[in-house]
Amino acid sequence: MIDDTANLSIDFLAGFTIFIVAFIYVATLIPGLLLGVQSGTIDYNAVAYRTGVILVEDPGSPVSWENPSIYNNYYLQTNPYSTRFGLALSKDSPNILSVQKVNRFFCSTFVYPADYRSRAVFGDYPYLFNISLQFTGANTTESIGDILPEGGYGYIRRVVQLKGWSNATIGKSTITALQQYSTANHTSTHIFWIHLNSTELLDGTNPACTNLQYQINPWQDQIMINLSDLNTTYNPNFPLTQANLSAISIYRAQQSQPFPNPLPAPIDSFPPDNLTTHAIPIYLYIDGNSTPVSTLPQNVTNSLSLTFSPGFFYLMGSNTNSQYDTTTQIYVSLTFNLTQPNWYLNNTYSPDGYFDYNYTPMYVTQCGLTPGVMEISVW
Amino acid sequence: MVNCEGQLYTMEGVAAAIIMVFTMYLVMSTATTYTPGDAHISDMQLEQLGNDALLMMNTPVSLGAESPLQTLVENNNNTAAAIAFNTTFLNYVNNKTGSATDNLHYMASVSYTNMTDNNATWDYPLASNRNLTGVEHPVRVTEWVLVNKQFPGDNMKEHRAALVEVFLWRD
Repeated sequence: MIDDTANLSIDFLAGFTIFIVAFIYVATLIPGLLLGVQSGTIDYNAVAYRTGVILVEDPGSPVSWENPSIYNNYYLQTNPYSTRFGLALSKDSPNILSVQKVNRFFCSTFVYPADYRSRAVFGDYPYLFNISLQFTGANTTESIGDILPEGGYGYIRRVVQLKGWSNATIGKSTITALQQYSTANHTSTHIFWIHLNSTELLDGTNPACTNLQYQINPWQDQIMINLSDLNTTYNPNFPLTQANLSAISIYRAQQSQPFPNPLPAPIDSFPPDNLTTHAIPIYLYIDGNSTPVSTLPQNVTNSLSLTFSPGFFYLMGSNTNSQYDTTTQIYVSLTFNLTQPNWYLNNTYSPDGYFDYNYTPMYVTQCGLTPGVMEISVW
Repeated sequence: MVNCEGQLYTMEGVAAAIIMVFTMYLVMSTATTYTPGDAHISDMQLEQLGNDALLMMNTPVSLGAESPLQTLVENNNNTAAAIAFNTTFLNYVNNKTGSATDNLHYMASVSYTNMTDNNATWDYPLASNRNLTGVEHPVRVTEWVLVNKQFPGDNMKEHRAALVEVFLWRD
């Protein structure tokens, strides 16, 4: 017997078709809905951006983390949650990087990725990354991290500038102009004084005092003094036979106390201390030699370059945090011994007094800015 | 044989379809923001790069000096200044670590308040290495710069802020 029990009605087919078409349409929307939350690249880009902001716009934490006199490597490596590797000079000068922070960030002491992950990249996910930095005129690229994968990584590029160090180059013209030589005493021993006036450098009227990118901070910065024309005497009747740099001494005085006479005991002297193995070393290059000498005395023919590493004077300040010490004065003396008495580089009795390491561009090359670029890749 | 039993199936199908589509519309409209693919990320990277470049150009390299951007805007009437802007800006945005470089294009202009035209906003082109044709997808970055110059169409020379506006794009 044939009947119509198994037949599908036209109405059912129409309804079922509408349902299936709508179901397929909705199903195709679902991948698009989840696209935003499943895209790893978006997350990596966000992390790269965040890392870039931390490195370029943040001075880091704790304050002066880059200064080894205050925070040694052990402290930084064992306190991951209280340390942040910001490279900016200050929060008010974004994109202006501190050379001391850059050097410490890229030093070989810290271990990739562990030390950097918890101090610069952050996040619960164990990201891999590559951070590179290059400045105009530099032959090499500073870099930490893994080799970049073929694709699928987050990326950000930041344009930065690096605050350089100041330096004083003192030759015959400067010595003559500032009368930094002695004609009063025809002796064999001559002392040349350099004055680091923290009051004038940090709390004076010069606009550089409040512009960190141009400020000379004796407590934190590298201080470099180049002496040239050391084969010159200032008595034409007596040519120089041999000069010998016998000692370098560091003295301290308070602003309210004029530099005392007679001299107090120096707070640091070379000798007996060793220059290069000092806790914060001094690098002394004689006559253009590329290897620094470690002990004194040393014979000098024509020139010397004396570099106090960043933070050398930090612990010599009177305040607990001497970064902001504006009252303590630092004096550096260089003692020369001549084989025969003569008029020589000597400002002990100079009418202009000590050589002032200050903001006068004619005598001290000021801190400059060097452009560079930083690339951060995260995956 | 025709009867009315199938009418129910049609109603159910239509109702289910409407409920599903409406539910999906509600979910998507409240939980997502439509963007043209991931374009906003490369836009963000370009904006950051352009802003950084203009900020660095507006930073004096030594104390008491004018910023390079200030100098270029003040002297933009000569070709040398436009060439200098072109060189400096492209160096900033195209340089990468290592030897490879990027290949970005830009078009820069300056907007200012014309004091002799009822403080109306005027603008003029500053420099460019390619003109916008309409098919590019540029980002816009700006930087205020303090200058002391007599702007085109303005008889007064006074210190004022001018807006350097740069359209930046990648081929």
